[in-house]
Parts: sequence; C-alpha cells; structure tokens
Amino acid sequence: MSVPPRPQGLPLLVGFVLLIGIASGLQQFLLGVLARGGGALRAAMLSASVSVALLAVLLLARAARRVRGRKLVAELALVAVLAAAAIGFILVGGLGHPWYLYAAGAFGLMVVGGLAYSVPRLGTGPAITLLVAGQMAVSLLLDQIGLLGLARMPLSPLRFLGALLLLSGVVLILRKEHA
Amino acid sequence: MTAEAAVALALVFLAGMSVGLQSALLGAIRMRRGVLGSTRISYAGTLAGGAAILAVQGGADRLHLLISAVAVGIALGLLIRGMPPAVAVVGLLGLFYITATGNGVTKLGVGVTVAAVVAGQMFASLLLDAGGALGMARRSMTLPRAAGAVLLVAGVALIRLG
Repeated sequence: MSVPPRPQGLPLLVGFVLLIGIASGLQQFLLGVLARGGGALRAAMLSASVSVALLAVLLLARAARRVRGRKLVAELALVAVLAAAAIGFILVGGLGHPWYLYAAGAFGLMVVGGLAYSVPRLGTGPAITLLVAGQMAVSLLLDQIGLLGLARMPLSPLRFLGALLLLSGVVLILRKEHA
Repeated sequence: MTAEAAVALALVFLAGMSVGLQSALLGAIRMRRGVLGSTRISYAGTLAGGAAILAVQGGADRLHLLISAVAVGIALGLLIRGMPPAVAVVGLLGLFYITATGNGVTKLGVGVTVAAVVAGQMFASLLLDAGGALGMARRSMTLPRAAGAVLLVAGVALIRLG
C-alpha cells in the first residue's frame, strides 16, 4: 500500500487535500440544512443514497473493464440492488429539495475517495492536518455568513484561536515520533 | 448551554469517535477489497441500517424501506463473505456519523460540529493506538500526545464560546 512520494506533485496534492477538507465541511453543513427540514436520519439517508447512486456508476465502470462471464452477472446484480435501494429512497421520500442539497452525498463520496488517494501519498499526519485545516476554514466561514437559514455565528478572535488550538492538537497527536 | 445543545455536542463527539473507528476498519478492509470494494461495504451497511431504523419508526414509505433494508442487508452479507461478520458494522458507524453531524449543525452551528467531530476522531485514534487495535503497532501515550488531546478540547470550547 506504500506509494513512493512524488515531490513534484506535492503542491497539487496539498491543494487537493485542502479541497477535500472543504468538501467535508460543506457536506456537514448541507446535512444540517437537510436535517432541519426532515430530521437528521432522513437527511443522512438522502446523503448516503446520493453517494451510493454515484458509487454505482463507478462500480459499473470498473465491472465493464475488469469483470467477465458469470462473475459479471453477480457483480451487476449486487450493484443493481444497491442502486435500486438508493435511487428508490431518493424518488420515494427525497425529492423536492433545492438541487444543491443533494450535493451532500457527492461531497461525502469525494471525501472517502480523496482520502483513500491522498493519505498513502502524503502520510496520515500531514493529510489529516490539511483536511482539518480545510474543514475548519470553511465551517467558520459558513457560520460567519449564516447561509440557508442556519444561525449566524460571526468569526471572532476566540473562534479563530479555537480553530488554531484544535489544529495544533491534531499536529501533536499525529506527528511521527522518532524513538 | 441548553440541555439540547449539550446532548448534540456529546453525540457529535461520539460520532467523531465512531468515524475514527470506521476509518481504521475501512483501512483493514481496503487491504483485501480495494477502495471501491471497501467503500461499497460501508455504504451498503449505512443504507440497510438507516432503512431498517426508518421502517421501524413508520411513515408512508414504510414498505419500501423494509424491502430496501432486507435486499441491501442480503447484498451486504454477500459482500462481506470471507471476512469476520463484525465488518458489517462499519456502515452503521458511518450512519451514526452523518446523522449526528446533521443534528449537531442545526443546534451548534457548523464550526463547533466539525471541531467536535475532529476531536472525537483524534481521541479514537489515541485509544486505538494505546490498545494496539486492529493489528496496528501499539503506541503508548506520550506527553505531546496528551497535550494534543487537551488542545483539542480547548479548541472546541473556544469555538463554542466565541
């Protein structure tokens, strides 16, 4: 699982993980907006259903390239069950929201895939620290604006300091110890 | 802090711990099934679990939810063949995470919710490391790591107070 570091791509990778952090913060924000309307569990299920519908597309693409014969039939049946449950949930109980709320599920899937890609390349400590930095930046900004009916919580020196302390805590816990 | 906000904060912290445990388990599953394979196992558990709970709660789409829960549950069983049955909980940990954060954002705002999730994740990682769980190398608690834990809690508190 160890992938050799590619220093020439480092700035790109750093920017990518910051974006993944922003996607994660946005997902939690959108889950909150959805939860206010119809309850937190239905919001979670709607987000997961969108994620699964998108994941099904990726699984089909992989199956088309790599799987053959009877295995392909079994694989297609499994993907069909997951996709049917997910799309069914969206169609039966999850229609009628503004389109951008469905992005929660897309952001969720991006975070899972993005971390699977970047953690082996950057190392857990740097990757998670960048992720948290992106998450905190976007979440304090969203509180400051108070979008889509959520309470406004202006950015203050105290909140900024809190985010810095949190980030330092992450760095201290995840840094490599040279014994 | 109102009782409602305190409960939401505790749930979000636990959700962070649960996502910390989830990513450790997913890491182990990924070794055997790859990124797409482990992600699919996780989301199947999330869908089956969520549909089952909503079906028990009732509502107009109850029958549809019940059928989904059973069908996806069977698919999950097939997906985890050859692995310990405990692997099935990985999706429930994810379900708890997205449910508790959605609830947390409505009561605490985005900043506190995200920060408390991060704190919970780090605490889970400290605990897993100290126990040497899931075949990972055991790492004992050191002074910098303990100080890091204190900073996490202080960070969440300041964001909440500010």
